[in-house]
Amino acid sequence: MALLELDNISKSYKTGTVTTTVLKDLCFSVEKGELVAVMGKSGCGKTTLLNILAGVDYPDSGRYVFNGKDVVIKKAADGISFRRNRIGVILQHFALINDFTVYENIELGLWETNDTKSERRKKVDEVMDRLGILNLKNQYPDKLSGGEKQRVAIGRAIVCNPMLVLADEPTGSLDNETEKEIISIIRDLNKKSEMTFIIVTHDEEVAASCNRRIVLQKL
Amino acid sequence: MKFVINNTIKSLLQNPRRIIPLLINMVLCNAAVFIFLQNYECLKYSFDSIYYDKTDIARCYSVEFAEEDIDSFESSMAFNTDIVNRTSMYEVGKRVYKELEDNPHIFFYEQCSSGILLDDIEDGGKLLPFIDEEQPQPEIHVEYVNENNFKAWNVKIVEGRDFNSDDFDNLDMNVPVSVILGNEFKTVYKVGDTINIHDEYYGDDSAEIIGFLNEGAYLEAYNQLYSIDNYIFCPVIFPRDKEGIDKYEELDGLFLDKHRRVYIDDPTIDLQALVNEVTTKNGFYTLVCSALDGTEKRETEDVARRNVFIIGTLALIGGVICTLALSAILYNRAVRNRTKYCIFMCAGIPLWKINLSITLEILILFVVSVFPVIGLSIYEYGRLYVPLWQIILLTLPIIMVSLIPTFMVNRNCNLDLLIRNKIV
Ligand SMILES: Nc1ncnc2c1ncn2[C@@H]1O[C@H](COP(=O)(O)OP(=O)(O)OP(=O)(O)O)[C@@H](O)[C@H]1O
Ligand SMILES: [Mg+2]
Repeated sequence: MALLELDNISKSYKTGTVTTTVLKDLCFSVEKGELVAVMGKSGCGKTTLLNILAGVDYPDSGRYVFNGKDVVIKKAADGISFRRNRIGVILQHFALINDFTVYENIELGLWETNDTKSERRKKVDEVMDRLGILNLKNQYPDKLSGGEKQRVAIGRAIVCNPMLVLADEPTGSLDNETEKEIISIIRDLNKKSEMTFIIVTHDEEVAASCNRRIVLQKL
Repeated sequence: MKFVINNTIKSLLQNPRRIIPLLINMVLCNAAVFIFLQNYECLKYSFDSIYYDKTDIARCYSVEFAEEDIDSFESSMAFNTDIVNRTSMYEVGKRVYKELEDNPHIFFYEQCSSGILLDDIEDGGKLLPFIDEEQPQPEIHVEYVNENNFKAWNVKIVEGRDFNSDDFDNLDMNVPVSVILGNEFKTVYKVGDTINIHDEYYGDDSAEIIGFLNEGAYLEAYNQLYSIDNYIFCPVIFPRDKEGIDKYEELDGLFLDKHRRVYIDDPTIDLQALVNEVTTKNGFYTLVCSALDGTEKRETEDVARRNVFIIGTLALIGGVICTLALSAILYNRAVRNRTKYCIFMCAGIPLWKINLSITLEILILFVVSVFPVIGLSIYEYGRLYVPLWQIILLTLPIIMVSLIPTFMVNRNCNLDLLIRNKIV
């Protein structure tokens, strides 16, 4: 069964009198366990698509079915409850809280679960171990390198074991070496835990490591 | 809730330097509110216009029934002797008294204060809050009243009942004397309780509480206003001295004092004219009626009103400044923390939990910030002059209003901002 299905999704933005259509009659589906790259020129609507998938934004028309259920987003709170424990998000600029330690940043992903303190500790430790950042546990993000930061961010996104992880340019701020590291971590996670990943990228190399690519055309 | 509690504690403990300006601001807020309330409390009494109604017409008079140069104490003794009894002055006074007493709009009331020494009272401990600290020996004030005093002072029975004629006739030492208490006593006693009261000369007597007066009651004596919330009111028969009462009745129950207080419920009556009418028929005596028209009080009231206005204005300005300063601090904090809140939301934490956590944090700081004010008051005055709930009632809205800009900033936090790198 498909994890998610987009059926004739359209989205346009109105600025004053000008209406820009960003997505038009977009259809595709993603199976469980896939690793999908979304590509396309700048401004073609990749982030917009990701926003719709994450429930941050909503399409003007069309159906979005996630795990067999229609997703209806009317306000920000709907999006948050839709994402909660289902979807992890990774961003280009890491989005870490600087006055929280690495441990605390990753633990954020578990506040909305029913886990007890010791369960949380176990899960966070496990994830840190998997990402090879156990030694950074009590460090603060501003002391870390880009690659380390992105691992922490990945940790936060996956610690609650979501069905889908969305990443917008996860390697956009990293050098070539670290990019490879991060992409191999993502591939590894995808293979071992069957988490589905949708990665927005400009990078041919990143896209090449994915199972499938979706290329958006600029309208 | 895990997140709310955890995040609140974290934000309070993690960066003490950041909460200091907030804390200082809140302490200032509380101090401003406290100072205002305390001053207001002090000035409030002047607003009680019990001696003149809205049209400023005198209602209460002091009538001199004896010559000016007789000392008050001596005169009361003199009236009890045959010598004065035989003077024509006494006869005129008696006639005037009769005339006034028959007038349905004129009421005599008592002007007779005393004190009960605290040492002699059984529940001295309970009564400690009501003692007059200015007296050399701690004592509770007693006013001996007749059936017209409360009317003249414009005070009301808010609980229980007023004195009735049985209370004023109760000379049986086996039946407790009825007493009415000032409002403050309500915290200790209730209607129907029996207390022991003690008079320095006449000894102990038991008294039954039949009622309580309204809060913020005052009486006038010697051109001053006295708050009577911590006074005990006994019927004039107390202390129940059988011998004295017999003598009093022998003398036709006439005055014990050269002054009598009169209250008139019809402002059109000219008391002096009425008195003159009787005196001119009976010789050349003049009995002087002085209106207790509150001129002096009115002057103090004007000053007090101005002071209340000034303090009120200052408090308002202070309140606005506090609110602005606090909102500014909180607003800046919210803007600074926008990314953090977006990241929280990215991790699936709903906005209301974030806002709840901020509110909780501010409330905890608020509770902490009340302590310096309480401490200062206790250090300065030995007790908290202004009830804590009043301080909280006024400061809490300031704090709640100050949080509004924060909530508005937070409302605009969303993942989209993070994803599109609109905030870093
Ligand atoms: N809130 C908005 N209001 C108006 N226009 C918007 C809004 N958000 C996005 N757009 C427009 O939609 C188009 C698609 O934007 P989007 O961010 O999805 O592109 P993108 O493919 O992610 O680009 P990039 O590769 O540069 O990140 C752009 O032309 C952008 O200007
Ligand atoms: Mg983009």
